[in-house]
Amino acid sequence: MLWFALHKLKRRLLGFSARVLEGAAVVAIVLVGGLGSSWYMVEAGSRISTVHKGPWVIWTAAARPDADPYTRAHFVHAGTLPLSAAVERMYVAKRDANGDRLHSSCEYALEGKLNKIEWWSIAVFDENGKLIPNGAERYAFTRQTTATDSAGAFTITLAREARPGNWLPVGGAGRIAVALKLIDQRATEQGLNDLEVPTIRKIRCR
Amino acid sequence: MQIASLTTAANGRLRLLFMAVVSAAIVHILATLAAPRLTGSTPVGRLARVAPLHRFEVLPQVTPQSQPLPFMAPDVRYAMCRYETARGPVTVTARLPGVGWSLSLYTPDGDNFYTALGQDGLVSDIALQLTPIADRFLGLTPEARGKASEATSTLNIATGSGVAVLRGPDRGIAYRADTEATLRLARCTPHPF
Repeated sequence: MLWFALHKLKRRLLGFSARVLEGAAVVAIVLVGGLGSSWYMVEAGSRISTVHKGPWVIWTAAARPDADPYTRAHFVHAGTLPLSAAVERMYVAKRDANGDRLHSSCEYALEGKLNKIEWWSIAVFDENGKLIPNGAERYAFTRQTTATDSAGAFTITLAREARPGNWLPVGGAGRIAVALKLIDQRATEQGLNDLEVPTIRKIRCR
Repeated sequence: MQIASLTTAANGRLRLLFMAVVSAAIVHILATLAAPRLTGSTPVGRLARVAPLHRFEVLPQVTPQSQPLPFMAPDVRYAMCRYETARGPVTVTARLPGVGWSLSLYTPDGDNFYTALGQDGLVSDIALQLTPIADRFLGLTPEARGKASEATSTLNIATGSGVAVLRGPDRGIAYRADTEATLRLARCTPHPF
C-alpha cells in the first residue's frame, strides 16, 4: 500500500516537473526569441534596415519619417540625430576589413578615393559615439582638410601615437568606431550605392 | 492505447511550441514598437538644455568636453532652436552659404522631415513658416490678419514641437568667425494667433 502511494507520488512529481520544464522552455522561447531578436535587430540591424559594405554599416532609413520601427528604435536608443538618409549617407564601421573589432591598441590605415563626392568627413569615436580626447585636438578629416595624392586618393592613419600625413589619434579609448558621412546632391542614388567606400586595413597591434 | 496517448502528448507539445513561437513574435513586435518610448529621453529631448525655445543658440565647437549627442560630427558647427507651434506659426530663417551647410527640422521623435542643403558656390536664404495642422480652429495666421510674412515657403506640420538644426562645416580657425557669424544670422520666430 505504501509502495503504491510512493509510486503514485513519484509519478505526480515527475509529471509536475515535466510541466514546469515545459513552461520554462516556453518562457525562454518567448523571452529569448521575442526580446532577444528585437534587441539584436534594433542594435545591430538586419537586412530590413541596414546595408553592409565591407566593415561599414549604413541604416538606410535613418531619420526618415517613413523609417521602419527598427531604425526608429535604433536611433532613439543610440541618442543620435542624423540627417535623413535621403540627404546624407552615414556609414559606421566597428570592424576592420578582416572582421576584427577596431581597437585603440592597434593601428589602422583608411584608404580610399572620394574626390567625386561633394562633401564628406571621417571621424573617430569611442564605441559609445563619444569623441576621444587627445592633445592634438584632432577628431576628424573632411574633404577640405585631408591631404590627398595627385589622383585624389588618401590614407588616414588611426593610431595612438603621432603618424605622418593624415593622423587621427585614438588615445586609449578601447573599442573604437569610425563614422563616414557623405553628402552629394549631384550624385544619383545608384551612383552613391556603387561608390567604393574606404577600406580599413590593420597595420599592427601592440 | 499507448500510441494514442503518445500522439496526444506530441500534439500537445507541438501546440505549445507553436504558441511559444507566436508569443515570441508578439513580444518581438511589442518590444520593438515600445523601445523608443522606453528609452529615458529622445535625442531631441536631450537637446532641450542646449537648444532654447524660439531662439537659435550657436553651440560651442564639438569636443569631448562639449558633445551633447553621440556621433555628433566634430567638423561641423551647429546652431539649434526648439520650436512649438501650439500657439501659432513659427518662422525659421537661415542662410546656407555653400556646400556642407544644411538646415534641418526634426520631430520630437527625431524624424528629419525637412532639410535644405547648401549649394556649391551659391548662397541660399531659407525662410520657412511652420504652421500646425489641427482639427480644431487655432486662430488666424499672421497673413489672415493682413501682416506680411517673411517666409518664402510654408510647411504644414502635424507635430506641435521639435528642433531646427543649422549645420555649417568647420573649415578651420581662419574661417571660424565667418561660420559663427552666418550661424548667428539664423532666426526662429513665433507668431502667436
